[in-house]
Amino acid sequence: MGITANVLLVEDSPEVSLSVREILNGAGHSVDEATNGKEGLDKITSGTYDLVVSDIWMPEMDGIALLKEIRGAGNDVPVVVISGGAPNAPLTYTAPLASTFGANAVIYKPFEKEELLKTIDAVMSGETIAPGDSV
Amino acid sequence: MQSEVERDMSATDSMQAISRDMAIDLVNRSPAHVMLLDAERRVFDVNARSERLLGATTDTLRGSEPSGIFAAILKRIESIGYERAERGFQLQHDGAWYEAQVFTTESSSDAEGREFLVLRATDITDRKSAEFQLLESEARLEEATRIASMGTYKLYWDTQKVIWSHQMYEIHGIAPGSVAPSGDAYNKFVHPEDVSIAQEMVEGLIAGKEITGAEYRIVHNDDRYRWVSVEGRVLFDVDGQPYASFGTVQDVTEAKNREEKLRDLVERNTVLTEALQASPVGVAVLTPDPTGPQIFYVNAALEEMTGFRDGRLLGMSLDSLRGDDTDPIIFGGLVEAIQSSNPMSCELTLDRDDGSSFLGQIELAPISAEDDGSVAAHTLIVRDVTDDRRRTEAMMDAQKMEALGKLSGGVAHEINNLLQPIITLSDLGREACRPDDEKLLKYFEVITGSGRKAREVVRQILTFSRQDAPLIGSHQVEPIVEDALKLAKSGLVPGLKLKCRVEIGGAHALVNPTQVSQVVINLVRNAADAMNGAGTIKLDLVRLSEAEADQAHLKQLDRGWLALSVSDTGCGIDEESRARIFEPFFTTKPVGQGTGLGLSVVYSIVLGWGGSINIDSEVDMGTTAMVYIPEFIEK
Repeated sequence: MGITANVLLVEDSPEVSLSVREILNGAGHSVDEATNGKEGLDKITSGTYDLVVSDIWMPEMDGIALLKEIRGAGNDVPVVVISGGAPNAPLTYTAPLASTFGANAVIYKPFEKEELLKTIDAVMSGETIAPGDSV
Repeated sequence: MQSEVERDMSATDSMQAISRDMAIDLVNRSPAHVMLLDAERRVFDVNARSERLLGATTDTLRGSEPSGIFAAILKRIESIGYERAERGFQLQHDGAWYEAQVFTTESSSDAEGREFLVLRATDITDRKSAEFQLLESEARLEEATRIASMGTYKLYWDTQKVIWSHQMYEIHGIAPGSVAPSGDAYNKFVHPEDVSIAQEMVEGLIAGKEITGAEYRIVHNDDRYRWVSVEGRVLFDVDGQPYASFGTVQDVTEAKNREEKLRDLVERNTVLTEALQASPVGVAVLTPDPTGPQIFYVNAALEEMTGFRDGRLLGMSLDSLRGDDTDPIIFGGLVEAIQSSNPMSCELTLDRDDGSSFLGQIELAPISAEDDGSVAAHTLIVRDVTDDRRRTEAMMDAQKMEALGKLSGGVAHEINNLLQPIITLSDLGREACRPDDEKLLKYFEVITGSGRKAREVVRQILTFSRQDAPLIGSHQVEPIVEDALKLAKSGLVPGLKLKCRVEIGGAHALVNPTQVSQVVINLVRNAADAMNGAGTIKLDLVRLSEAEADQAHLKQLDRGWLALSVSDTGCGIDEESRARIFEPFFTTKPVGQGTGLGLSVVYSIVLGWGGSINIDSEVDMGTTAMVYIPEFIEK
């Protein structure tokens, strides 16, 4: 077990939220939740998180907009994007997530428990994982 | 004196005897039948030929009544009189023709100085029939020429005497019999500009030449001229000796005028004709005909389009362009439109000379050349739209694929979200289980396993929808394919062989190596599935020549094209399935054996490389999948 972190999970699907929370809790991370980008941004602005795990497609404010807001405010909190799409997919903008919008890692749903945890460990150690890189 | 006289007499006698013997001998050897009748008109003597003819000897015949041809001659003498008979006559007897002559003679050998009647008959049947045939053929020709309003002439070579038929005078514009025609005087009928032609013709006839279609003008008294066409043949007499020319003269003024008018029309319309010839669009002029539309004119473009060059379509039926793939209903409609003088537009598959076919876009329009507006012909305008059609179809395919891709991409996104809890929570559920609760452990394991399988299917869909484009780079193709072949071979059942030919040297392409393997393995697996467990699958990887690339309708590149083909001799794919072969989830394999994603994935992978894929198949003969990959040359 590596570093334990205070994680904000931004995800509109309750079932995915449950799954991610269970994985993170199981690894000793604490998890706060938001169901869309707007709610997530409010929580980030008011609270302190070690890591943000965010979906992309969400109502009200999507994951891209959230990333822009975070980085626009000069906040460099690590962000792991969990995408339902695929790398380079035009509909989900996953390709430029890291390079343009400043995500620290992108992984694709449905992921394995170990994949998520390894990615989080890596990001917390200061790594950036671009799409196509194997974790 | 007496003795001298006697001596003289005896000399005369012997001379006479010798001359008589000679005469008998001559008579015997004569080709004529000869019979001597005595004063009582009974047979006294016959020559050898007559013995053979009558089938009896002189001895048996002597004293009898003349028989056979000789009886006929005697009978004829009675009817025509002796004097006429003495000049000779012809008669028919027993199916043969004879030339007969009679004369009387006194025989010194006959002591009584009696008068003998000599009958002579020569068989002239052969000569007669030749003569008859000649007469008859001349008579027939006369009749024919009279009907055809042709003049006939006969020119005797020795005397240069000329005989004209009635029509000859009319053709030359003078009253029958008003002049005595001759070779020398002929020029006065001829147009001054054509005298040399006529002169040469007459000289040729006299020299025994045959004349065919000599044409010149005849000037009539009113100074109007007529065109004539002359034929001349050599005549032979009964002995087979040529002696005269015989021939016809026909007034061809009408035809000549028509010809000149047409030529004039063509000359005046040279610009239009040239324009038609230069047109890139195929143009034909069709005339209605009871047996079907006939092709009257084709321009160069249509000859090129159809491969029927050098005017070979002229005078042909429109059926010449009809092939196996020609829709009979549309073709029938086209023929019907021509016969009923209607316009029509259609698309129709037509056959070329070499048996290949093309899709023609056809416009049919009636031409009314006559003043009364009646239709004289049709113009048929043909464009080869084979490539247009192919492009349109390819575009529609691409659009369909893009729509399917977007749809499946959206669906995949949803499913991914649903799979996350299935995989994660079943996995965590298993961890949360009591270790001895084997049943529950098993349940969770199955759920996790199924979720992971589902994830694989979705990943394939995303590949098809090209939302999962892995990194593409310049790679040498041959080693990747060789590696993939090892994998592909290991998956084959023992009865199947894989025969490979990889001849691309160190060619590079912008690909992703994993995808190359995926394409090779997918195609080989499909081929294997079609083969029913036995046979040879052929895999070729070659560099296409420019011509081959053109033939495969590939766009021209500075660099070349690589072609990967996988052929099987399996069950083949029917037309209907082939149209849907690249659609995701379309499969002809039994339930559980295929996801229907293999070729969809191959399709999108190959498109991602900027390549193309084509499936050729014939039911029960086999299938060939052709993958075209643009070669990449690093600058």
